Amino acid sequence: METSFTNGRSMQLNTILKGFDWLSEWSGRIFVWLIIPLTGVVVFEVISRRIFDRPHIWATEVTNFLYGPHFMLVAAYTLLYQAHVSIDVIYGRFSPRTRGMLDIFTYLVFFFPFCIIVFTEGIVFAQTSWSIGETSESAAFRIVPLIKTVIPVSFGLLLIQGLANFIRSIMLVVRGKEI
Amino acid sequence: MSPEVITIGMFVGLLIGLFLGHPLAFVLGGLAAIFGFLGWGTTSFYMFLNRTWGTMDNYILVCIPLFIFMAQMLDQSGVAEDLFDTMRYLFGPIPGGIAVAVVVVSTLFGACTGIIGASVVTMGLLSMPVMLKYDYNKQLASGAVCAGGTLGILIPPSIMLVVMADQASTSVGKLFAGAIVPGLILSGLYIVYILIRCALKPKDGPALSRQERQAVTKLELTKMVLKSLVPPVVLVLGVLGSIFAGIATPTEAAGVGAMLAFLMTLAYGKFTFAGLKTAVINTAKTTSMVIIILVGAACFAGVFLGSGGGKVVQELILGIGFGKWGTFIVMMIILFILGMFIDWIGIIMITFPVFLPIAQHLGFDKVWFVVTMAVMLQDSFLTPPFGYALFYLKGVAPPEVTTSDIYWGAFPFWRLMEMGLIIVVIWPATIMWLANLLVK
Repeated sequence: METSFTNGRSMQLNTILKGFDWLSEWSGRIFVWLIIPLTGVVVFEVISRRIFDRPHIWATEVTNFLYGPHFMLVAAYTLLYQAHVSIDVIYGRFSPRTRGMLDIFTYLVFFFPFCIIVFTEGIVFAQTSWSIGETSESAAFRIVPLIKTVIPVSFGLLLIQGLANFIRSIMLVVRGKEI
Repeated sequence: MSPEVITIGMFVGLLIGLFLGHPLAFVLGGLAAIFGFLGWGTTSFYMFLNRTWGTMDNYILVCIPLFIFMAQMLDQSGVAEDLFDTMRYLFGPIPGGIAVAVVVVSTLFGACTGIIGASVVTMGLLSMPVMLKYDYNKQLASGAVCAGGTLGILIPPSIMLVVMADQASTSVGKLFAGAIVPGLILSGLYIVYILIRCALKPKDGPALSRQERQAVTKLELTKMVLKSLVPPVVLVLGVLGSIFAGIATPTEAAGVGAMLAFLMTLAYGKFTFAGLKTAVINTAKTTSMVIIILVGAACFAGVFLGSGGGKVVQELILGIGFGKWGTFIVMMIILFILGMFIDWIGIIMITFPVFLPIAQHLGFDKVWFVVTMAVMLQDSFLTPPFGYALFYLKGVAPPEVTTSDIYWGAFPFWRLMEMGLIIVVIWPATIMWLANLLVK
């Protein structure tokens, strides 16, 4: 009875962690494609301005507004695939369990404080922009508040993926094997 | 807390965080959070948002994803494969010829791309099995791939020079123009080194056999050269030319370059939807990795400089009293040491605000100084424990190539990079001539 109970709980936990991964996976699968419209807008404006001599003020802004969300919104996906660079000369030599302990420490000291600060301050930052109805130079698009909202959203996604990694490290240390 | 304590604390923290295996971006950000809080309390946190937003709302940095996308599309086009095949037959008859081919292709590829990952991975996959088959010295083979691939981030277009231009508030075009000759000097030094080494010790790089040479006729070879060389050269001249001629901003040129690279995959008949998807995903991962480090490093630098750490280091460097060139050497040594542990983005964000005022104070030209830093940072990709090129090659090299082969193989190439640095220091015209000629 005892074992099946814990198994049931770990199944539940596992489902939640899978859900977190799923969120990062899909945020990535969707937003990686922003590079295509980004390239498209830049090329369109080059042709329009240099060949037809018809520049658009909004082009530079739209370019910036595609570039920012592109790298921000896929950050969690990048974390899921562990593509953020780190040094593994020493780290790689430890047992998985020791690595789990190091991760618990580094996530608590570095990752969470930084991401929580940018997330919470990011909410204030975006709220301010919404409440004053901030507009961009060309005013063709009232999109600045939306782009600023990308900051808390991206760091929220990062926090969720970070939490999944963190819980996995704890389980690894407690159980001695990966879940 | 005194600025001295913060300076030491932040750098010790950086080393600890990195060696514990945490991603660089979050180590930098985390230290900014800790020391920002200790220094000014929660009021420091708003700065993080300004720094993050400053990175997002930045037209110059838009080059980065576009140049990365261009490199990834070019990788899909298979142009590196064709080039390597051609150069292998061209240089094969000389001892060390395949390694020379690696450097030549990397140089050309470097002139089409602004990152190192794509070239090291591609060249590692293409050339390592061939060189091992011909019984090349494993260390020489891996050194050539790492050093050659690293040229991608020095020879323009280069995302490193884009970030440097942004941080130094100087023109991207001028840095691009200034880095051309130094890049070619390094490439030339690698080739000369390989040729001399293999002439003295032919066992390190045996020449192709007679049979193999006769497999391709002169006419066929000429055709191969034209087919594989012309499109990338046109691409490079188009991208760089339009920047230097002032027709396009670097961002525009990068966008058009990405588009042209895409058209090249179509022209070579290599376009597949799966290939495009791979390129798009790799672009996003690389871009995000690079720019999130930039965000973390911007916060780190903000706290570090805001608490007077920059001044501490500046006074320390100037206080040693080594004179103009002694101070220059000290700065380069600091770059070398930092290059062992942090990547180029962190180094630029931390050292630029400290070093540039010193350089100005000593009367160095800004463009010249920044390009010499870029040359010096080539070392950082090849120095363990934190050398990107070494990581990438280890990931794709055949299993008989050990980590120690790769580390030792890279060693002579650091020395060549330093020789290259000495050359551009002794003859500043190597940088300034094209910088002044091409960009007004």
